Amino acid sequence: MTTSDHSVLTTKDIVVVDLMAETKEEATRALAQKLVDDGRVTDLEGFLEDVAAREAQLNTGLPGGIGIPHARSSHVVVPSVAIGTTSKGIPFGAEDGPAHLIFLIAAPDGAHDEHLHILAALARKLVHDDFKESLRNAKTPAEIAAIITKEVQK
Amino acid sequence: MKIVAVTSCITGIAHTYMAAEALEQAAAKAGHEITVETQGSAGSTAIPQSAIDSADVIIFACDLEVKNKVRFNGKPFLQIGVSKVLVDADSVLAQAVTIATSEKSPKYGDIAGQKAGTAPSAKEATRRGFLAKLFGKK
Repeated sequence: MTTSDHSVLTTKDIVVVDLMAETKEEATRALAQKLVDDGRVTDLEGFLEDVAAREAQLNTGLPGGIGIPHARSSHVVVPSVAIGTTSKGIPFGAEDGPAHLIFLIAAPDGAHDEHLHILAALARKLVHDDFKESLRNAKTPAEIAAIITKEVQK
Repeated sequence: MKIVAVTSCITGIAHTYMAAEALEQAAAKAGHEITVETQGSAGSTAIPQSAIDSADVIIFACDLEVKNKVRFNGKPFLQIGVSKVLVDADSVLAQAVTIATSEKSPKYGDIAGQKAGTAPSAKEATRRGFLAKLFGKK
C-alpha cells in the first residue's frame, strides 16, 4: 500500500469533497477510514472510540458551520487532519446550525511538543473567516490540501 | 486596556489555540492589548510576571485547572469555559472590561473555593481521575 506524504498534515488522499454522511458519527467514521487507508491511523475502531470519548465530553460543533472531532490516541501514527466538506450540512451540535466543513484532527498519544505545534497552528487558523471561506470555495481535495499546507505549514 | 488570558481544553490540541486566536482577534478589533498563555499539548510558554502584574484583568477560558495559579492572585478576573470564547469572543472581552473597571469585582485567590494552592475538592478529584482514565493524562 502506498501512502501519502506523512510530513504534511493533510494531503488530497485524506480530503473528501461532498462527504456522504447524515450524522456526525458517519462523517467521523468516513474520515477516519481515510486516515487508516493512508497509514496514519492503525486501528479504526480504537481510534473512533477515542474520538467518541472526547465528543461525549462536549460537542465539537462550532459557530460558523464547522465540526472538529478530535483525539489524542495511541492508534495515531502522525499528526493528521482529514477534511470533509458537505453542502447540505451535518449536525455537529453547534447552536447556529450544521457543519459544512469537518476537520477530523488526529494526534499521536504522547507526541512530542514540537509535533503538536502544527496542530496548534491549524486550530488558530480555524477561527479566521477568510480561511474557512477559501476551504468552502475549493472544488477539489487537492485544492483543499494545498490551502492547508500553504496556510499552516509555511 | 491591558488584558491577560489563559486558555485550556480537555484534549489540548484544538479549542485551547482557537480560543487564544479568537481572543487576540477580538482584542485587536476593540483596541485592547492582550497576552495569551495557551496551556495546551504543544507546550505552554508562561506569560512574564510583569505582564500579569500590569494587566487590568485576567480572563481564564479554561476547561482544566489553571497551572501555577498563584501568579494571578489579587487580580480582577473572569472565569469561563473555553467554548464560550469561540461562540462570542467580543462579549467575553466586554464582560472582562466591565470587571476590570468595577471596584467591587472579586480578586483572584480571595474568595472561597478560588484560593490558589488549595487541594481540589473530592468531586473535582473524582472528575480529574475520570479524565485521566479517558485521556491518559495526569
